[in-house]
Amino acid sequence: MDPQIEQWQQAFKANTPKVDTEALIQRTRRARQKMKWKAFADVAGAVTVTLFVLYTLIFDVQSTGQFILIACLLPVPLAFTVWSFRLRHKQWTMQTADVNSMLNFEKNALHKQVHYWKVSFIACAVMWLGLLLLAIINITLYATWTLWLTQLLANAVVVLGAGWRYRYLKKALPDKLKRIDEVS
Amino acid sequence: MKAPDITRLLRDFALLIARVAATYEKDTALQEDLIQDISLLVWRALDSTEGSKNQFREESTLKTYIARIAHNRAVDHVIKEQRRHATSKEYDESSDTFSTPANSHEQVLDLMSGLHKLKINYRQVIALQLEGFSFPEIATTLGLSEDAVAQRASRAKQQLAKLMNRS
Repeated sequence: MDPQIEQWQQAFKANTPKVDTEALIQRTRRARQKMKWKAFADVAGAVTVTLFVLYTLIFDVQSTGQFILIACLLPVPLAFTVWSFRLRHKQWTMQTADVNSMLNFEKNALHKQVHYWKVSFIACAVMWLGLLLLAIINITLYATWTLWLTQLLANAVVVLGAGWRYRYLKKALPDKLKRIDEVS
Repeated sequence: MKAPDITRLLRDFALLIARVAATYEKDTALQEDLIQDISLLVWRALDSTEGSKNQFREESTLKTYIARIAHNRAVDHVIKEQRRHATSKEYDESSDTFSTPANSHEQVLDLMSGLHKLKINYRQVIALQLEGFSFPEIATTLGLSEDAVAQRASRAKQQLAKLMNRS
């Protein structure tokens, strides 16, 4: 072996930080337990919500409209649980992958985040325009100014919020990608 | 893998994990957090493996696997810290002002000081080399080709020697 590397190797190992291994194992064991309980609570929460929606659908529905609405809501908590489980699994896989794959995953996630907020902003804006159309019709026909103006203003805050988040993330993206490139 | 096996392995590899953390983070408090994070990830990873005999036939395979998780988490930590200090540039400045106490460990601290000043892609390779990993093992850990590892190792060595001679 290269004598220079061998010399550095000795120095490197001599400089190992002091670690209380037993305390570290105890803390890690507790953190792992906490993590397991959190995962269990997430699944239990999703199952409870699904069962509640199912109960309402079977015993509490009073009209066809309500039945359709609740039947449409039923898959939402399940789909959300499956989606979050898959996302966590993917993130977890990346944490045990090689460094390059993890960095590519992070870059991809940053692009997806910007895309998600772009789509959210467009969807919110389209819905706001629909609301505006309804407001114009209702105000013209029934002069319900206060109701519709309040709704328009409240929803405009959501649209502006999504727009601001999209612009902020898009602007910050090149810097974030550059930082990842610097370590890869 | 069962909990007693995992604790035994953590005991065996705690110093390796600590050295990886020290290579990427010099703030003692953050270093401790990083050691804890890496240990938790290692625990979780080993917990989800079927058994040491099946998955890790050799000690070196297990060591490479743990080093891969440790470096992966440490690089992620650096990216997050850089993001956190993006406005104040505190992180970069602190990286260049590692104190060098004048005592018997001066040479040792010079090495760590030099390591902290290296670019991360060079630091990764040389830290793994100093840990005793071969080029193919480093290539597996970092997801690079062996040629790329050899090239980086040579440049890292040159730069580290230059930095240490300067100090």
